[in-house]
Amino acid sequence: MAIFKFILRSFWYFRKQHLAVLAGTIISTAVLTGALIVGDSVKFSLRQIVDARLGSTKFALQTGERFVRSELSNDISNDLKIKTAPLLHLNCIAINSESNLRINKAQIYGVDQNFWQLSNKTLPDLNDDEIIVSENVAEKLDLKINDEILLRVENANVIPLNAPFAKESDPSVSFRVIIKEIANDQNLGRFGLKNIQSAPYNIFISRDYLAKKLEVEGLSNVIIASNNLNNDLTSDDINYSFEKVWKLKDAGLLIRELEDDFEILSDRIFIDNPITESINKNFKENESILTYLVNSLRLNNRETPYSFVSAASSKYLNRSLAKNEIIINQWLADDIVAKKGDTLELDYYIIGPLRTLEEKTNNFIVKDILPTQGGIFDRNLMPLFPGLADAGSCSEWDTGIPIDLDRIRDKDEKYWDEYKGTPKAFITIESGLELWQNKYGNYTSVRLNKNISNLDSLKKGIISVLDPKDLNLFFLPVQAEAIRAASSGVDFGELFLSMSFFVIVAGILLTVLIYSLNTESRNAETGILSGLGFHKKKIIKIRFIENIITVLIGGIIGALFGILYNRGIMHALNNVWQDIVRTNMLSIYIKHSTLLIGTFSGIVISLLSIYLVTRKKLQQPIIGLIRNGSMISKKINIRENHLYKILAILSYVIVALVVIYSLLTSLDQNANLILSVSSLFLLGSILWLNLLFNNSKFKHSNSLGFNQLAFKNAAKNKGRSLAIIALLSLGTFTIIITGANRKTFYESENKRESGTGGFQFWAETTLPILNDLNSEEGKNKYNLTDEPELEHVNFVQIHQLDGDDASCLNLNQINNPKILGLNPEELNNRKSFSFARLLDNINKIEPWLELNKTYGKNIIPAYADQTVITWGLMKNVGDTLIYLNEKGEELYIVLAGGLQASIFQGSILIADKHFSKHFPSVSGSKTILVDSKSKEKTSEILSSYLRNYGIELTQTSERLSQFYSVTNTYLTVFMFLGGLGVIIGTIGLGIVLLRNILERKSEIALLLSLGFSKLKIIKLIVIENIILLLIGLKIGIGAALIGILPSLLSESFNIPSLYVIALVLIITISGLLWIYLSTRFSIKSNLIVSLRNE
Amino acid sequence: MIVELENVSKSYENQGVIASRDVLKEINFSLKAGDSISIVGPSGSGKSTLLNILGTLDQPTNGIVKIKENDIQQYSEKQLAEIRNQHIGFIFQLHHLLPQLSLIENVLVPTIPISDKNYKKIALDRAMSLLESVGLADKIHQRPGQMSGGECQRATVVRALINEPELILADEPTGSLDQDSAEQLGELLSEINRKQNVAMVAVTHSLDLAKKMDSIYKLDYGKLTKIND
Repeated sequence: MAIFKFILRSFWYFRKQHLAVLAGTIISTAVLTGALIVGDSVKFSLRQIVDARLGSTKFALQTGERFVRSELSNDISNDLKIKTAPLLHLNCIAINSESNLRINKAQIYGVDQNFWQLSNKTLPDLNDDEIIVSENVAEKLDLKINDEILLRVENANVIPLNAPFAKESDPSVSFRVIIKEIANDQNLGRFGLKNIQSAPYNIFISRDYLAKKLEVEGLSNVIIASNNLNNDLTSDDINYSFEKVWKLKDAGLLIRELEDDFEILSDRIFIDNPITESINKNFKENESILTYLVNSLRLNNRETPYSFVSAASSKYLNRSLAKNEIIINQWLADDIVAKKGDTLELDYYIIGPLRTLEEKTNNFIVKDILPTQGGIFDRNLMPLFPGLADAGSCSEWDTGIPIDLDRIRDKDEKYWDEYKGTPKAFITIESGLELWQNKYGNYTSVRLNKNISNLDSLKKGIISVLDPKDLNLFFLPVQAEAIRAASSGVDFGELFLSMSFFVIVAGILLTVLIYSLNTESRNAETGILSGLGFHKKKIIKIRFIENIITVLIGGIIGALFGILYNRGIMHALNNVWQDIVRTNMLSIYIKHSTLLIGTFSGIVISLLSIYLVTRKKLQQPIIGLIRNGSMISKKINIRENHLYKILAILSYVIVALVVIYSLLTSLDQNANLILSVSSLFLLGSILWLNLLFNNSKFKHSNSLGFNQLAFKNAAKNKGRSLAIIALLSLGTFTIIITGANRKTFYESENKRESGTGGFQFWAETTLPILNDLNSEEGKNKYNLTDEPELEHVNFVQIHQLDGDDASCLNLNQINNPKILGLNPEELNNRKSFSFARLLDNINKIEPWLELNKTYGKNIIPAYADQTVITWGLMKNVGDTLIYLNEKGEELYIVLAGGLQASIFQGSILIADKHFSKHFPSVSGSKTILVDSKSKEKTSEILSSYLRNYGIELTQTSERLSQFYSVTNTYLTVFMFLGGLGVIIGTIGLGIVLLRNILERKSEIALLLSLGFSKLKIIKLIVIENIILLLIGLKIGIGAALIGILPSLLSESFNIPSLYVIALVLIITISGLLWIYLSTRFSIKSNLIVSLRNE
Repeated sequence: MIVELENVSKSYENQGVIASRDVLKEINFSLKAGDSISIVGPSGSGKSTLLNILGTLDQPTNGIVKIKENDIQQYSEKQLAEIRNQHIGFIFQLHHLLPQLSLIENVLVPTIPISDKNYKKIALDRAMSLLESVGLADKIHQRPGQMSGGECQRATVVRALINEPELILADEPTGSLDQDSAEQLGELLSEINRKQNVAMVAVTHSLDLAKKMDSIYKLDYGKLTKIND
């Protein structure tokens, strides 16, 4: 007889038993495969979003707060023979005036045909008053083609708004346009350079038109580029080309030809330090000059208002000058009646954060008095301040500082008419730098003697010594980075595998349990085969092959069910669980390899279970198998018993010690420790139970009650009973722990140490708020002074460097999240927010002040939400993030601590002083924390007055709950799948019960013959199994209560008790149902026949 | 000698609260081809233990077991299985025919571990011939569930003989049969012993069956004593 015939016969004969193994294999394979497909689908969808977002864009130059020539795009295109497009990208507010619907965070892109051609899209040319909007804009504003839309676009400023004397222009430019086309995802409607899966609100407009409106004609702030024909262009290649073709204008420089000199000026007024450093290094004959507007030059009570004072070297001044000396012109000397040796007072403003002005005074001794004009007193020394340089008279001055026109005398007007901004005094460059150097640059002009070169050569010479990277200008491989971010983000495959843990375990448990029972029912066969000369390996092989058929079929069906399981999860993710993914663009993507891996894994797990069970069963004496066909009780090892006892007691002692220690010290700080020991309690309890089962077999007593008998019966099949208890307890434990970890608000949001910091609103504006809203001047700027309600409102204004969102709302893996610059003192004084982790050396009482420190050159500390550090950045406290500051220097940001879940999720927090130093061009604040007692009124006032700044006020508790909703949704998924797993596990309880009863038919029949009524026997069986159910639930609940002790004893604790109770009840009911069904089924059969047969 | 026991003892270690006990004490005997013995004794006297040691299903605590002059103590599980497969035939009290197989298939189960295809053909012929000799030729495609107890037990005998073993070990072979069937089986075993020159050990409570063997041994308190010739 052939072995395969034997196997096939056995397979067919025991087909019912195989069906149960099949079910177990199907469940575990389906869940495994389904979870893996979820991972692939999410990755695939994110990759698709990258394509929709970038089209053919491979590289992008984002100039930040600077502007480059739009023509630069063509220059690079011609040099590399690639497609490029210059863009003018700004924030804007889009308003449907008719319905009053608005989008505060829209993105406007000034584009030309190059943009569409870059991605081989053909969209119509746009006339000046026409735009193309993305689908979500049309949807949100309820607009269609040919409808009108009002745009309020952030003003583009070549000069940083916070720079000294920067003209205060309108923060936005408004105009009406017509929607010409609606761009869908295939037509770059989703275009965006930020690595996030959610779709931006995009508006595309003619670049020329937008530039004209914003008065930045010919300029762009983004250049995108495709790859070359060979697809082998690297970012080094494109940056090399950029360096080759860029011009002075791209660095914001212009050269003015003076009589004897060439003068280098910046359209940003103050020349960036890397530029002056480079020129100083490479051109020996140069003169760097700093010219500043001072409020007054005073001698005794005589003063000259609003004058320019220049600082220059002794060489330029043709005389040596001490630091406290000043050279004045004759006009000034006459005006204030000054003579050599007099001490002048010089008043001037220093511009602080949020345009706060501080007037300072310095004294200088008059060293010399020179003619009013000519020689060193050159009218060209006045920088090209907009609002000053082009003013016809003093009364037309329009600067960033308050000008008291009453102070301006006729003679001042006359000076302006005659000499314009000719400086009235000179101080040494050293003094000038000490007084007026600022983060935007130290000098206002650099002069080079004409003798050294002609203009063209000079231009070439200068540009050749400058490196765009020094101005933080370079192309990034945005597509490669986006693909990396999409592929290395949250692994949903792993996530759903772990969340489906209980379902997989339930499937495996079912397979093992059923197979184990099947094998036991075939013990006699196993014994006979051994007796007939089949060695163990042969028997394992036979059983293995017999089950391969089942498992293979189970694996294949399981994989197909896996697709269904995946469909269910993806549907849930796109709908009810959308909080996790923040997009409805997830599509199912089935990779053959994943299907194979899932199927293979499911099959391997089942076969491994089968192998291990068969091997274990074969370790029993053959003769025992042959004789009674049932398991011979495993010999109980006394030593092993002692070990169990010691381990169980040790577990309980550790649990008790940790709980006592935590109660005496801090429950909150030891929350993780308590959670760990709660699982130790669970383990200890199962060990203890094992011990009780062992002992019950040998415990002698003179009386035998129902419960004792039931317990002894449960102990008879200890392995089965323990497996059921372990599953039930672990499931219950997990469900309660998960439920208790759901984040909720219960009056805790007003506490300063909470995640809201005690602030009521998180406000974000589209246009920057340049002034301090806590000050009268600031309130005045925004017409808020008439609102008494705001007197008690406190604002914390935060600088913001745009970056990717690293919060749990983003599925991509982010390297450089958004940076927020805030005032550490403000948060320190309020004692706002709490920390989950801090570096050891940080002052735990005043941790916020740590942010003011500097750890070394360009090394600064930062905080972020602990969840962002762990999951968004995949880093640890103590790790360093590397950014490039505006000078193109590497800025090392050390993650010095992690905040407890807070409203700052997604961002990195640094001190505003570091922020201003490294990112000086970022003007004003776009993020504001509002502390107000009167929520509604404050919200109403701010929404109304700052409407044109695109303010969006979110209650901090709402913002936090948005982040919590992600965590809570994950927990819901976990609870749902965990509950499902445990419910499947209770099927195992039913199977064990049925099997036990079938095995004990004769015992039950004997009880019947001894006068037990059927009801009593049912009672006995039910008690025996309810014992398992209750012990499982008790251990699970007990361990969970220890685990959530810190939460239980906290005032703000709230568990979604209904949800948890419902799940525990479902498990209990499901368990009871299986107990009832199995008992009923077995008692129905004719038991006396069993007894007779015996 | 087909089988030889030298000073074989077997004791069980204490288990939980049950104290250790000696089941077999220094058993000595040997069998050559054609010998047949029966072992009688009260329940729990160690008869089946002795049979299991003879059948390599169990190991003695002390002493030597030789099969065909070879000490089997050093044999691996695989080698022992080979000995059981090719040199020993088992007959149990319960027939233990596999319910999933037909009669002929059950009989041929011991041929599965042998890979020689020619042997399988020869074994099939032998099975048919043996089944005919025990009066089961017309039932070869029936399942054990469709046959009587006596028929099943006869089928077990055929299964035990299929690989032409030198030693047949029968553990209460008539224990679950009615008197007629038991008589028939006893005759069959006796005939096999005579005609096929097979050594046979039968553990039994049945005096009728015991008498059909050449010698009767009694096992009492672990000691084996011959009570007739």
